[in-house]
Amino acid sequence: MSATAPVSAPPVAAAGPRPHPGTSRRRSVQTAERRWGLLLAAPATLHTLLWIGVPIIVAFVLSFTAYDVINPPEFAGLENYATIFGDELFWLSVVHNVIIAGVGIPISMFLALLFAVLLNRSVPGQGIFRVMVFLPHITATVAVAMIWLWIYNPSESGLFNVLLGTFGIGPVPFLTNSDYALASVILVTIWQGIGLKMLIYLAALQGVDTQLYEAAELDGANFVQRFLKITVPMLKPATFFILVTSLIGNFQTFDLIYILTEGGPANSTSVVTYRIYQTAFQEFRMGLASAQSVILLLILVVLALLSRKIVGGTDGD
Amino acid sequence: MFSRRSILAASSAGVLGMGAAACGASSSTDDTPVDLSGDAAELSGEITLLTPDFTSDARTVLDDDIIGAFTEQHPDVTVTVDAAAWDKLNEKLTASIAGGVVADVIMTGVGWTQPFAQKGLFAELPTDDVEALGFEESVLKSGLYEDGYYSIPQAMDLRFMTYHPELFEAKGITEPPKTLEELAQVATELTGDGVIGIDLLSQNIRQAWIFLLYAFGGTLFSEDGLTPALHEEPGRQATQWILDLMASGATSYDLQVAEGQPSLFQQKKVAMAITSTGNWTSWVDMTPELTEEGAIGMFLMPPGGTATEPVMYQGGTLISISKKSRNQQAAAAFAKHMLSPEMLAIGNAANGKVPPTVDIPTTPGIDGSVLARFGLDSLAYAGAAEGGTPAWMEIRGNLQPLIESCLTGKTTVDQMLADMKSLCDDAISRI
Repeated sequence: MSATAPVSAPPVAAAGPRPHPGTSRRRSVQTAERRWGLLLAAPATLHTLLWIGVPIIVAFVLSFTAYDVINPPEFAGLENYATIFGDELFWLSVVHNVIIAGVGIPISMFLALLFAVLLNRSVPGQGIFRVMVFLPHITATVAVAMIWLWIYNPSESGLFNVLLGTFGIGPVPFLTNSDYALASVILVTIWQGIGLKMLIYLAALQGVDTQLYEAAELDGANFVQRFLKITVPMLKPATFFILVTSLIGNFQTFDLIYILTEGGPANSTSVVTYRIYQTAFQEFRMGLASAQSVILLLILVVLALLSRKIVGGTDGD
Repeated sequence: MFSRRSILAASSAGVLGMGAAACGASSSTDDTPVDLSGDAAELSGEITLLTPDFTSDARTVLDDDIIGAFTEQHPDVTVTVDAAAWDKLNEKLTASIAGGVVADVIMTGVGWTQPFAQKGLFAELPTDDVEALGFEESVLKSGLYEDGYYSIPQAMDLRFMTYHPELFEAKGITEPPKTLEELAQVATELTGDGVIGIDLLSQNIRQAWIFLLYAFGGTLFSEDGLTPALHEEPGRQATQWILDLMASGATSYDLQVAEGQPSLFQQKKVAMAITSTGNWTSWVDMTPELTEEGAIGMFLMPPGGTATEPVMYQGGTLISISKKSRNQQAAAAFAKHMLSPEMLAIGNAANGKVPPTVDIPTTPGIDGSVLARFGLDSLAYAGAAEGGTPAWMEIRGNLQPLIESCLTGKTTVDQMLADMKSLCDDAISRI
C-alpha cells in the first residue's frame, strides 16, 4: 500500500469551475464601464424621453380628442382617424410627398454619388467644389426659398424667365401655375439635398479599402465594373442611411413649401407637414392634426422598413 | 428598485393623467361685458398687446407715442408688446393660448371676431360704449357676434378700383364704368400695346373673389353665419365674370411681381387694378409720380347682375380684449386709449392705414393720401368683407385653393361652388 495521504478535495465554495483570477476583475471593469455608459447616455436618453417620447405620447392621446386649443379637449374616439380616411386633401398631400421623394431623392442621390466619386480624386480646387456643393445644405431654408422665389419669379425680373426670354420663351409662371409648381419645388429639393448626401458618400468612399480596387484592376476589371461591383456594394450602408434620412426629411419638408408656394396654387404643392400645420394653426383642429401626425409617423416607419428591405440595411453585405 | 416595465407604466400613466387633467380644465365662464367707460385712474399691473401691425418704423410710434402717452396717464401700468406678422398671427395666437399666456389686448383682422368670440377667447364689449365711438355702422359690423360687440375696428385697409386717366383718355373713355358689364368692356378696350386691362388677382385671389361676390349682390353666409351663401348665383356670376375676362386676355392669373417691386399697375402695364389704401406707402416710396394730385383715378367696384349699389372691400385691424385677461380693466383702458381720435390718427398714419372714422385730428399721413381720402369718403359702401361665421378660420385657408382650381381650369364653376358649399357645411357643422 502506498502511504499516500489522501488528497482532500478543495473546498467547494460554489458549483462549477473556479473562476480565473482575471475574470472577476474583468467583470468588475465591465460593470463599471456599463455604469459609466449608462451615466453618459443618461442626458441623451432623458432628452429623448422628455422632448421626443412625451410629445409623441401626448400627440397620440390628443389624436383621440376634439381639441381647439381654447376649450378643453373632448374625447372623440376614432373620429379624427375616420376624418383623415375621407380627407382627400391629406392623401393628396401624401401623394405629393411621394412624388417629391420618388423623383427628387433618386436624382439627388445619383448626383450626390457622382459628385462624391469625382471629388474623391485629388483634383485642384477640390475643397472649393466640396464647399460649393455642400453650401445649399447649410444655408437656412428660408434664405434658400427667398432666392428661389426670385429665380422663379413670373415677371421679367425672375432669373429663369430672363434666361428663357433670351430664347423668346415665357415668361413661365413656375410657382403660380399648378402644372409647373410641383416640378419647380422638386428642383429646389434636389438642389438643396445634394450637399449632405455627397458628404456622406464622400466619407463612405474614403473608407473603402483601396486593395479591393487594386485586386480588381489586376483581374482586368474596368472602371464601370469596379464601380458597380465594388463601390456600389461597399456604399450600401451609406446608401441605406441616405435613403432613410432623405425619406424622413422629405416627409418633414415644411419651410420650403411654406415660403415658396403655401401649398398652392390649388393645393398642387401641399405636403403632409403643411397640411398638418394648416389643420392645427389655421383651422384650430389640434386633435385632427395630432391624428395626422400619428399617420405620418406610421408612414415613415413603413417607408424605413421598406428601405431596409430594398437596400439591405446597414450591414453592407 | 423600479423595473423598466414599472417606470414605463408610471410615465405613461403620468402623461395620460396630464391629458385627463387638460380635458378637465375649465375656461372662464364670466360673460359680463368688459367695462370700457369706467374711471380708469387707479390702474396698475402689466398688460400685453398682441399686434400684427406697427412693424418696422411704426413700432417706434407704438412704443413712444401710443404706449408712452398711456403710461404717462397710468404710470403703474406696464404695456408689453408681442408682435407677429399677419401671416404668423394665427399660429402665434394658437401657441399663446396653448401655453396659457394669452395677450390681454389682441389685434386681429376682419373675419376673426366671430370665431374667437364663439370659442370664448374675446370678451364682450358694451354696445353703448362701442356705438358711442361714432364709427360707421358698416365698419362696426365686423366686430359683431350674435348681436354683441367683441371687437372694435382700429384701422382699415379699404379696397376699390384705381385707373390711369391717360390710358382712359387714349381710348376715348371719359368716365369710370358704372356696372361690372361695363367694367369688363372697358378692360377689354384698354388691353393691347403691352397693357393689360385690369389686375384683379395679384394681391389676394380669395379676397378679390369675395369683393366681386358682393359686387354681384352676394354674401358669404346667412345673417346668423350658420348657412353658406357663397355658392349661390352671385358666386357663379362672379367666377364666370373673372373667367370671361381671363379668356378675353383683359386680365391674367399671373400678374404678381417679385417682393419689393412695383406692381404692374404702378409700372403702367395694367390700366386698372384693385387697389388697397395700404398700397399708398409703396407708391410714395417707389412710384411717387402716382401720388400727385390727378395722377390716378378711383372708383368703387360697380354693381353686377341684379345688384344696384357699388361696393368697397373692407379689410383692417380690430381690437379685442381677452376674456382670459387677468387685468381686464387696464386692458380695457388701453384699448379705449388706442381708439381715441388722436391715437387713431397717429397709429393709422404710422401704418399707412385708414382710421374707422373721419372724426380724427388732421394728420399729413392720412390727409396726404388720395387713397385714404377716397376710402374715408366712401365708408358707407364698405360692405364687402370676409368672415361672418364662427367657422371662418377653418374655411378661409381652404377657400383659395378651390378658387385657384377653377380659375386655372382644373375644376368647373359648378364643381368649385359645390366644393365651397361642402367645405362650409362641414366646418359649420362642427361649431
